[in-house]
Amino acid sequence: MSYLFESELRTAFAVRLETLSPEREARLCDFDYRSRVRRRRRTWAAMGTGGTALTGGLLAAILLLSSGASVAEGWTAVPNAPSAAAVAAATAACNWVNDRTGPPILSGTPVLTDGRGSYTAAIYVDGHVAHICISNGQRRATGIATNTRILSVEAAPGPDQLGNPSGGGGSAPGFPGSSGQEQDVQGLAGSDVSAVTFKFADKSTVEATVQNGWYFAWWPGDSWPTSVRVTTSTGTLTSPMAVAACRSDTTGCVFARPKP
Amino acid sequence: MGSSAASFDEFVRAHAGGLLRTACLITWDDAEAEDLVQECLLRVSARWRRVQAMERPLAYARRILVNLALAGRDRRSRQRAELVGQDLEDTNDERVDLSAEAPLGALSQRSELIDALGCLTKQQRTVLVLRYFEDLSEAQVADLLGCSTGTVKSSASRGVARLRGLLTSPTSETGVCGP
Repeated sequence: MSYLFESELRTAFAVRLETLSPEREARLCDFDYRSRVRRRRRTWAAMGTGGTALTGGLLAAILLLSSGASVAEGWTAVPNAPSAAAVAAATAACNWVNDRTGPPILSGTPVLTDGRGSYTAAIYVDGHVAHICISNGQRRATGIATNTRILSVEAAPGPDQLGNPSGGGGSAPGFPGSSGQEQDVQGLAGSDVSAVTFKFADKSTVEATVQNGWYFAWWPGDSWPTSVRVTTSTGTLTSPMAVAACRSDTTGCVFARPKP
Repeated sequence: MGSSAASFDEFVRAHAGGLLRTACLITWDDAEAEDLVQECLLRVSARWRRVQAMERPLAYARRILVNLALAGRDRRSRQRAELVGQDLEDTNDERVDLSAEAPLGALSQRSELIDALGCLTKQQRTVLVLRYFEDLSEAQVADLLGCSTGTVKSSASRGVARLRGLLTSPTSETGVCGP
């Protein structure tokens, strides 16, 4: 490289950087990186005989600090059917992030779509793997609310049961609330399950979308439901959520199942 | 834990600006650069205990940043073909004599050079930025990109050739990237 050109190149770089706003560097320095680190996904065994005991104080602290799935701007506890355009936008946003972070690119037709205010979620199944995308459709790191997670698709549950539950949480600046946190739960639903509702300690509820043999719900914050209500053709059954075990990253835990 | 957090904060304060400038020159897009650095620092933060024990944490962060920048979906295939798929033998094709003092055209028109830089592929700019902005050696660039020094040379060569073409092409006068 000629010295002349090398010098001009360095100068051109410097001139180009003169247009870079110092606010961007300031924002990067102010950003709280530690609270944005996504928590690991939690996956549980489908059914079990009982929940793992929880240290009462810890549970109480968790539930007190998180006031349930309370109302948050841009999010609704009752889902609606999102438009095809909203699903496409959310999927594109998840793929935009996935392309940078590694998860596979989502494609095909989702088995479940869930709309909650300005947020759209979709579950894509590829063989024995399911990908869950939750997004507000934004592709900017400062406004994005995208979380793609992966779980194994196992044997279908009985007609009146919920099976293979998986859930967890993450955070991104675009999710509702100052913390930008979200929690979600999803899994296979028996063929006779028509509705699934999660209940929280503060008596708030979040209704899941039940579609094509899947159920799915998410909510802002880091609270976890205390029970789940499952509706089938024979009635409604409520079972406790094994909060302690489900909030751990250790071995699998017991998830609620409708009691016979 | 507290000192670890403090040391990460110190790392961010010391290097966020530099990483941002590097990202800006690679992407040629300020907003994308900010996003990339944010993502890069998130990843560094998640591994900070291990990273801070490294001899050169900044080099690790820079590697993540460059990988993120070059991981663009639309360009991935082409970049791999350019960087990974080429060996030293390939560099004989359409080589540019980098040592020559051949004029690049109207270099006094710095804005044209800046426009032309914006027309390079991200891959081509990355090599030039790492070599002539970060002042890394060819070996260091090759190590960072995970390729041979020959590939670095050829990528730089192609970048310079493209710049020459853009600066001497009539299309550069209109601000439109040529072929």
